[in-house]
Amino acid sequence: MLITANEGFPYPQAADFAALPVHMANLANGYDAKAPSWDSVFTALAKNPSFVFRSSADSSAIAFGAGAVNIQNLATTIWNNSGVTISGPFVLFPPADVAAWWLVGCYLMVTNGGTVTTGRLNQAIIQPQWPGYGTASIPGAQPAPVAAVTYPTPTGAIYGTSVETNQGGEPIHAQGLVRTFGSTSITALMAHNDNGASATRTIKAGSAMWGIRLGNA
Amino acid sequence: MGNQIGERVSRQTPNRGIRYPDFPDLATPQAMQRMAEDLDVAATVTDGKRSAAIKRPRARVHRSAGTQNITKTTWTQLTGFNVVDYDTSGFANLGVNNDRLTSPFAGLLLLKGSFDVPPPGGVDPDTARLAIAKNGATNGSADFVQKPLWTHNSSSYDGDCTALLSAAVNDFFVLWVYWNGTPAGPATFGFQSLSVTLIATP
Repeated sequence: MLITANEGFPYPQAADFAALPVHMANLANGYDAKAPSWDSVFTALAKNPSFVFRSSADSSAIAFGAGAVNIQNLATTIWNNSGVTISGPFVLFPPADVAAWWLVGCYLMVTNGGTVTTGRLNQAIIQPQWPGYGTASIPGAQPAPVAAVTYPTPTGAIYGTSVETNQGGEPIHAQGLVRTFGSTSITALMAHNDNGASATRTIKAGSAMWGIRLGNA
Repeated sequence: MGNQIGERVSRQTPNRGIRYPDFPDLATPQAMQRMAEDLDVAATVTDGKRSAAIKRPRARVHRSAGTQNITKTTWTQLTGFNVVDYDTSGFANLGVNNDRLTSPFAGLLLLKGSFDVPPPGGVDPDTARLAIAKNGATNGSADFVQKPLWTHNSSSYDGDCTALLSAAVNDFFVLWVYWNGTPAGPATFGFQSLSVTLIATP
């Protein structure tokens, strides 16, 4: 009996015609045995690793000058077939996974406190942390006032913004690509530049972090 | 093709049902034809699974004409989708519900909404918002994903919103809008679109 070069399907040698039924059975079963492995690849494609977690508590309210505030405990799992785990406000990527690219994002539901100023900037920050590289740099405590915004050079952090319209809080979206390897983690923070005497911002419970694995790096 | 007179019934493989002679039957041309036909069907099954995995279910609908009056500072659901741009899997049924896409799948969905309103002569809001809502979710719910749009002093306004939401079979997704500004209103909204792509299955 011989086998084909790529998939190893069996077939008889030229002089072996007497046992053709056996060889047909071997070929049929050899082909059939490959089907589950082919199917598993397609099934895995449909189960694209991804996650959505929501926070279970409000953050503290922060005023201008008070720095950035973290999204709170990501305790509510909306979706997770990715192998990532949660530790408080952090999404921990699978340490054993090969280096990979992920599209990650956050949706921060924000409420205002005090008297807010229309036109001021609200900022979401997705902060990655890589093993051996420390925390992604988040420049400054909060963005500069809108009139003189100077965006710092990103060094791994991902930013999103919304502009205050005084409608009871400005949701903020941010999304970007993160290359993960080893024990990479991400979290989300919020800052704002409303320097009104009483103005504050809070990340509400129900705010989300999400990710879709795009492929190996 | 069935068995020939005098032949024993073929045996079949467990996964793809490929028929082969039951030893010590002869490898007749008919038996080989049956096996070839079954291998052909098996390959087609594999092709179908590959195609389904690569071509993710998706749909997009939009409103091609007309507008909807929206009262100031009142979240309002948009209706009037009248064009199905594409729909691979039966998300849309505008003849029954012209305000939504309904998921035939359990899974994680990527949703995208947008609107575009050219005034002139219309009300120019200072602010507007667009939201994607799952089922009956309303403002304040985590399933009511909204995006604020700064439109002050613009001559027209438009915007978009993206949401990643989980779905059970028959969960539906709609668009809501909100605006505020100096004019009393109402403002007119239209030309909205809503699209969905299945990102992952359980």
